[in-house]
Amino acid sequence: MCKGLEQGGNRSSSCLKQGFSSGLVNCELCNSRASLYCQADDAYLCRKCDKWVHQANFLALRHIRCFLCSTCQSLTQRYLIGASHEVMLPTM
Amino acid sequence: MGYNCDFCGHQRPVVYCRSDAACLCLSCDRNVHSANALSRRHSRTLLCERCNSQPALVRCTEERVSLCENCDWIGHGTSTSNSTHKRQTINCYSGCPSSAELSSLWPFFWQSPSPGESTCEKELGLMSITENIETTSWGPTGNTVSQNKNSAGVAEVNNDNNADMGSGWDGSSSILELRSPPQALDQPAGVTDTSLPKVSCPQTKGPSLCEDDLYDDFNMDEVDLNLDNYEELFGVALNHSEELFESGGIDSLFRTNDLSAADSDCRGAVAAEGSSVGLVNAIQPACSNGASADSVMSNKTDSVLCFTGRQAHSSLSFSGLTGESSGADYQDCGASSMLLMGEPPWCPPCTESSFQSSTRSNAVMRYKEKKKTRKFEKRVRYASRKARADVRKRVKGRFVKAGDAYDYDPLNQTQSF
Repeated sequence: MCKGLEQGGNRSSSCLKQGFSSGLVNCELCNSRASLYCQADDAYLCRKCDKWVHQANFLALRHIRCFLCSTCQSLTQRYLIGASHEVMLPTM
Repeated sequence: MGYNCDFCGHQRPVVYCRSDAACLCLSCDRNVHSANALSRRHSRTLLCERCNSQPALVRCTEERVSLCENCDWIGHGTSTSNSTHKRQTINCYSGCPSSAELSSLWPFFWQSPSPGESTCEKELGLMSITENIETTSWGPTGNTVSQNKNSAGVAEVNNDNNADMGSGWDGSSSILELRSPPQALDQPAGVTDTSLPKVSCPQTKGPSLCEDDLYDDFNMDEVDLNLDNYEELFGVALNHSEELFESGGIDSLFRTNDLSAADSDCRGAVAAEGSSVGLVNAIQPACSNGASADSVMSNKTDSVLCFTGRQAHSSLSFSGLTGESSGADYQDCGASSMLLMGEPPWCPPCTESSFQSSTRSNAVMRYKEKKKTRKFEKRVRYASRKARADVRKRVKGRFVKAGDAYDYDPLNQTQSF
């Protein structure tokens, strides 16, 4: 898993891993660059689409979304819950 | 969870959505899953009628009841007479099927097929009326449109399921013939590529479901192998649905309690804060009982600290939960356990409940190993205790205290003839 930096790999120097050999992952709805992954929906989403999708009803709001590293787009330890609650899981 | 639909809260739930980990009545299911393209992909299945809390995997034709894995094992795994019951796999669906399509998907669910068809036709007509009234985006396009795929894939899953199910199942598996959907479903306009819903169709066995004509309306896509993942991920709860259908017909369930978009939004807004707290609560390991859950709930800032303490939990520890965790914990058990594994959380399917087959098989193997070393003969565990016992005075074979009267002293024996 890409540790990157605390804020999801803002500095590319520390992010060496290339998560996907085929290139970057696109948001499934708007085809822009994906920055979140929803495991319940099994979908990569950008921030806007994620907001639209998961604010439709409270069941979707319960999904826990994982932030993707902004450089290599692999999963991080930052998660997004609800509308805007970010959680950082400490790594052991 | 439990007895009410998770969304409206006052109808009895019928289906279980694995992605949302929620039990929904049919009308809420349609409302929720027609909201956007992603939610349309969610796979839904029937609720178990015994425990009302988990998705039903199989339907026992003899008892005519849909059961989840646990109830199935409880009911059929233990007693030998029951283990020969014929059980059929229950299909899942995604998208927004109409009542006719659902009735063809679950033919046992409705009343007998012949009157059922006529009622379904009526309901189909009624459904179209309601469809016109509703301005939601889903229409007849909701169902699967994609062509038949992966018959080989289905065959593989057949074999897997055969192996899993064991002695109670028929040896042969029938792969349902897939047909092109009727015209009404073929409307790709307005449906983006990402929104093609899949209908997962594990093979069904048993005589009643071997007929192909029951599945006219459904185009079975590739088998939804995510089924395993979701099943392990999310806990389960469900209500029985047969009573509902026998009383009012499926259409009554669809038409009642149409939540307007405004309502769901309001509820979503109100629930956003509550849900975020609730989710933080749920992220702690599912092992925690209600007391510690409450303590974490009360202090959000401690949530991150709680994570550190819990990350070492293994999947096996979840087995302690089963009857005790609250409904909310149970739902998010899958997500929380994944997060706390400390590994890449999304890649391996999470192991969640104690009834997962690997936990059980481990326990069974351990039992068999210990069984081999059982000895029922007279066996001395502690030699020192035997030494003490040999020299103790006795009365009628029982030990007596040192100062009491005795009639047998092993150290000082007199031979009597």
